[in-house]
Amino acid sequence: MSAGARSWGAGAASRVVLSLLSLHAAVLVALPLVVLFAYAFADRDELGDVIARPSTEAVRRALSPLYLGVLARSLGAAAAVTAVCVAFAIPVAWTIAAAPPRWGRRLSLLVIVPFFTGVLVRAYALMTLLAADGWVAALLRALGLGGDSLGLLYTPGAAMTGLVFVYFPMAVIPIQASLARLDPGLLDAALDLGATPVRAFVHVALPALRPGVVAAITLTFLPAIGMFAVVDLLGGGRAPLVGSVIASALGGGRDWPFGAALGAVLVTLFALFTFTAAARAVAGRAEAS
Amino acid sequence: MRARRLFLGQLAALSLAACDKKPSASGAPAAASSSPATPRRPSGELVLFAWSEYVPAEVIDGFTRETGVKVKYEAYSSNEEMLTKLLAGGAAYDLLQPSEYMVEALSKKGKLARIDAARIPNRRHLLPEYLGLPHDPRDEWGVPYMAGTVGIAVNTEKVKQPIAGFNDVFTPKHKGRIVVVSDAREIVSWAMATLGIDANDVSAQTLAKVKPVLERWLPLVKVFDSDSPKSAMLNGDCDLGVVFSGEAAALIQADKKYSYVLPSEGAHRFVDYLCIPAGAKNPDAAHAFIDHVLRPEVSRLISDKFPYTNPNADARKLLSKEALDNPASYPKSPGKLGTFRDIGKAAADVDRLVTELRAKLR
Repeated sequence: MSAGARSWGAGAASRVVLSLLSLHAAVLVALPLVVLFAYAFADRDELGDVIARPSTEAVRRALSPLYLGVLARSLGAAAAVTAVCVAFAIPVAWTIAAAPPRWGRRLSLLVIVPFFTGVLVRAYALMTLLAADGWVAALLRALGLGGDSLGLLYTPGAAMTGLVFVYFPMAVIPIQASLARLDPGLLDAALDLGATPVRAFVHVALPALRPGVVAAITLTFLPAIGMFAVVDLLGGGRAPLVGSVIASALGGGRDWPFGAALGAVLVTLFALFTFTAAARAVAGRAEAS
Repeated sequence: MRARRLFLGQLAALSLAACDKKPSASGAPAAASSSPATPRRPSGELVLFAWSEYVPAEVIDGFTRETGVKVKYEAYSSNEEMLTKLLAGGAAYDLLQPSEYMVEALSKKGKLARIDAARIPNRRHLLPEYLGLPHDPRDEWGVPYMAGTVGIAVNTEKVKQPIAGFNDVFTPKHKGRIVVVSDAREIVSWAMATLGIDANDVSAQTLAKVKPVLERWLPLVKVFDSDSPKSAMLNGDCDLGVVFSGEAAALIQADKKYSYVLPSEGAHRFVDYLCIPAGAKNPDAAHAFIDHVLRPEVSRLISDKFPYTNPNADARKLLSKEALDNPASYPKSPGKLGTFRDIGKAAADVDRLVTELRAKLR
């Protein structure tokens, strides 16, 4: 009797949560996507207002070689940022997991601390460090490295550093979460049975880490493609990435159909990426069972 | 578009200005400037939609103190951002602060309410050169707030040879040392100036001539930044900048090694206006605010904080000699200065040209 009541209560609760989530998905995800794709195929008037006249001009422009090149460059930059983030996140997460709980908590707090300030504040902080008269240049000069004009700021490298700085916690947190589920006994067993530490890591730890790494890649790669503020500030806004082009089309350019068309291309890419990853995960699970 | 982030260094001057309430020097009755000429008393709330960091808090607080009208200051950082939010129609604004070409675009589309000149007696303080400009010949749609130019800021310690115009800036010798505002219309107008084409003569033919010039220029640029172009010069990464005059004025205030040059080929003068959008909820308070801002001792507060060019003749009389001597705020020989007109749909072609040239940069 009491068990039945509890399960009924749980069922009702999950129905409520499910319907709220569906509502959220419909209003805040599906509806904007419909508008996005509709705008991408619309025309605009003199002031830049979107008008209901079908046009493929914006989409054709977004798919022209020039902007596909910008997109490719953005994907490359995001991939590099993701690779760096994940490569550093694994040892950091490992250190946190291996530390005594008290220290582990403190270390994870340090990973989260950057979230206490805004992304732009962190970008400006990096700018003061990397500027021609900034600390990094002063340090390198004191060490006898680099000449008078190092030119660290306003370079693609500075933009990448900024992105790594911003997205690094997003890579650490999910990897740390999946490490927490790894039974340390398994590693001990592998070592006791004669595996080298490298082998134990590759064959025992990595498979356990996989979901965390996949989550880290998703949380880093996808937002990094579209990020524009940090990239423009640190990179000098010279050669724009796709996020900056969209921002300027929607802002100064007052060309919403074109901005929407680029957005639609990105969303399509994201969807393909996510579905492929999900399909591979399902296939992998089927294989394992 | 225009950077309003300036130094807080001029705060000292404000304490002096706060107690300065003498009537204007123009000989008009003092009553006209201290009480509104209209029997309708402003009341309620005023929603001011203006450039970020362009209306000093002292000005707003003074208005609230005198009229009891609460002011809600919402900020934007480009004319186009303002336009986007205005057209989206989500919020009701009582006052806007567009630049001249945007005043023209908005008035053409019926987005502005006419200014009732009878309710702005303090308009008499304005310099005649800021009235009757081509975008609004009868001054129906807006009242000038502040003005400025786009010119060349030079770090004279690093750049020794004289810089007279755009052609001296954009040479291979200066590659990687130039910062420019990130504004397609501006950038295109500079190339047009060197070609002797009027900045408002935007067509497929003129843009075709502009393209090869920008193909040479843009690879030389290190930084594109409209928000705070002076930063790249202050922190030593760039030695030459094509920037808004207020940014250059701030550089000169910070260090005398900076100078400001109005390009010999011709430069762009911008004028920012206070305008009342069509359908504003509180036009009484909007008119009262415009008149308040035009009072010389109030207008002077704006100059103290944001050293752009003040179009208010009687406010200029209250400024310090140092402020008036700043060549970025008050150029001695302005030469050829032109204002932008609304170019309609061609604005998108201009944006496209610059975006596509920048996309080719490495």
